[in-house]
Amino acid sequence: MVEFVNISKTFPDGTAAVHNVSITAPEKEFSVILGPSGAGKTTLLRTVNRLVRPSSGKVLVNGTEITDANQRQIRSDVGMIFQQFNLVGNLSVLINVLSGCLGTHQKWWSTLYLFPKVYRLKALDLLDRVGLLDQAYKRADELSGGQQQRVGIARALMQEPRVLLADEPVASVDPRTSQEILKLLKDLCKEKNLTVLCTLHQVDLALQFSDRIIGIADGEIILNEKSSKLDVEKLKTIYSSKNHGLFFGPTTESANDPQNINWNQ
Amino acid sequence: MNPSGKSKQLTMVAVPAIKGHMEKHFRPLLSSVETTTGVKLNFIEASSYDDAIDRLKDGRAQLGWLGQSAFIEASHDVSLEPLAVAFTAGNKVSVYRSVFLVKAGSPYSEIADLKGHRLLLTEHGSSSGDVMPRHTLAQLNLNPEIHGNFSEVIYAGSQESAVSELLAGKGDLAVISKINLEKMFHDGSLKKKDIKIIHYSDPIPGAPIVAVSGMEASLKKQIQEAILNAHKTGPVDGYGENIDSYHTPEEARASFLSSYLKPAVSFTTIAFIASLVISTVGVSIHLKVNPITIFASFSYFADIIGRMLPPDFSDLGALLISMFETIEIGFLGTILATILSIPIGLVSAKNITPSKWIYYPARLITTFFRAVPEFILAMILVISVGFGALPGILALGLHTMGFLSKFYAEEIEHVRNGPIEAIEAAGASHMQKITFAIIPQILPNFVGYSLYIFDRNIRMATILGIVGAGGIGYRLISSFRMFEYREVSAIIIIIFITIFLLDAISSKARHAVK
Repeated sequence: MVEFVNISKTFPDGTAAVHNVSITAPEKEFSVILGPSGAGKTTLLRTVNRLVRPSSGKVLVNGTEITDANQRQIRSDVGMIFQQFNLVGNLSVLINVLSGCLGTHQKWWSTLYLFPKVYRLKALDLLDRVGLLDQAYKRADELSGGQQQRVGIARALMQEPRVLLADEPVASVDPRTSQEILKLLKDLCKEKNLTVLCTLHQVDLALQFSDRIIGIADGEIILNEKSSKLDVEKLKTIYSSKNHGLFFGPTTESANDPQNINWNQ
Repeated sequence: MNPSGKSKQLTMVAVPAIKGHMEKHFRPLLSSVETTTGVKLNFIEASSYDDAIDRLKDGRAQLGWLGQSAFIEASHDVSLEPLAVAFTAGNKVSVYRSVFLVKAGSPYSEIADLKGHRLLLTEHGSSSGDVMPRHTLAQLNLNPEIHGNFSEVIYAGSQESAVSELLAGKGDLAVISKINLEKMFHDGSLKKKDIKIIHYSDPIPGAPIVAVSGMEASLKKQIQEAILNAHKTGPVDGYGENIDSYHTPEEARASFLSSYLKPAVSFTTIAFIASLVISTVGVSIHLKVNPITIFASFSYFADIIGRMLPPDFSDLGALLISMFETIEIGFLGTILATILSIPIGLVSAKNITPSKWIYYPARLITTFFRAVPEFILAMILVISVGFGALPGILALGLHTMGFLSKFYAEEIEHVRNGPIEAIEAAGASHMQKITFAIIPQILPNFVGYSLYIFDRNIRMATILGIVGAGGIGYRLISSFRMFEYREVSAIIIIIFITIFLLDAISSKARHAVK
């Protein structure tokens, strides 16, 4: 469970990214933070593992408030995957996955890429789970985008997290791969009882895969509901007052047509 | 029912992986389990993969062997529990592979040659004859589901008929299990010379013997124990090569994953480190480098340091003027190197050189001046143009031109091609291409390298003075020769401060252009 209590974040340059957000991402649910780019969803997500320090308010991970003192400990409970995958390109796929357990495996020889056999077997097991066992000894940058993201997922699972953060996990892959990746995340959420918090800007994907949609615009929460109770029309109404290029799927292509944009807005 | 399990009957169903022979392969194991448990075990070879799944679903069978893919497939419909997996002699989980076959004498020698031809698979749902081939082909960019990769995808019905249809010319590529292939070679139904193997798949883990989850727990446990211990009383068999025992699914999983383990430190790494150590020691012995000598000469070292202190700054004004002269030499040398290296760098970059008749001479020139140390260049130039700053400037300029040209050429060769294409597509000329797509990409590094060379040239200019090319180096060598060690130390301090400041400035400047 992840609880945000009165979270605000103002960056040093004065940008107010998130404003007084209080929400709860329930235990073992796949929650999607949905919003157009610049809405503050990534900032909000990053306060969970303190990659962004909130200007005010607090975040509770499984009931414990994350602070400077305990952030390393909490982080080992929170896995993260990234939009650009953030793999170390010239290390092998297997070592990339193994790097996920560095938080717990702190023997000096781990810095020489040496890991005990149980860890290596576990990494192989996870690679098999994400369908990449036969790629284990390839260099990470030889893989396609979708494969790299699956390595990213395996790396995050390596630390046996209870919470998984996914920051626009499918923004850099093609539509078909997007479906595969989100399907995998959703399955893993159920299999491993993970609390997943995932930022997205594609409404159709959010509706298809999430248990819960947390809508955000201009740094404020405008929606927090079970996905089963929502439909595209309702979401459109919610976002219509502030259309910031939110992607509604193929039905709204005309919104991206320059002729339909009011340049004086 | 009888709690002791006596007079109980169970039915095991197996998929027809080797049509008509499944009972023969599983009977030894079943007999052993019958003896241990007292449960009578019937055996049915299903007519198809779907038939086998149906029988488990509707209760006509309680035990099953489905192959790997059908097991996973069936798990969606009926709750199954894996009991045991076959291991081969040597205590490894039994794995098998799909083999990709073409007719002997056919023109195909690799998978890619088969694009657009006819693919023969065995049966829907078979691991080795359907699922694995599709997966392997998809990884080789020949996904059978994508239109155009294969003109036809045919299910032959069984492993054996896939081969016979291949031989009859009804397809061009057949994929079957290696186990079945070996068996066909063995019983003479197929001759090795009739076919050609062009590819093997990744290993497929041996499939488990499963029980329906509804089965009474104690009975399930009893049967599992009996299967796991069957090899102790006599030979067991099953689907696979050299099966000698059955183990738990957990052991099987660990064994399968272990087959993907490589040593944590590779042989190459060990060999590399060992050869590095050996050559370091070897070379030291050859050159008679003795670490003890360094400690033994410590007293002499202390002596000369003592004579250098305190530094003598009595002639500070003149020293600073010499130092400034050195900076000037470095500066002019860098300007010369940069001016020369722009055209030479451009023509010695493979991707934009106008002709190989210019490219090779340009490369030759840059290599030559890189190869000759500036110290030697300076000595030659001092003899030809006389003492003073000029030979120093020329020596530095020519030598570092060699470096800069190479840096620039490499930088140009590694620019991203996308912007060049875009500019070309707009109809730009060769020169426009260079100014619009290449120069903007290399400019930051171009400036960075030049600054680095400037920094380096000033350091080198101090040394060049020693051979008579002016500046503070000249002063340094003179003081040495006159045993004025206290002035030597003053000069070293001045050089140190200068280099320190220049280093800070140039790193700031390099940062600024990034």
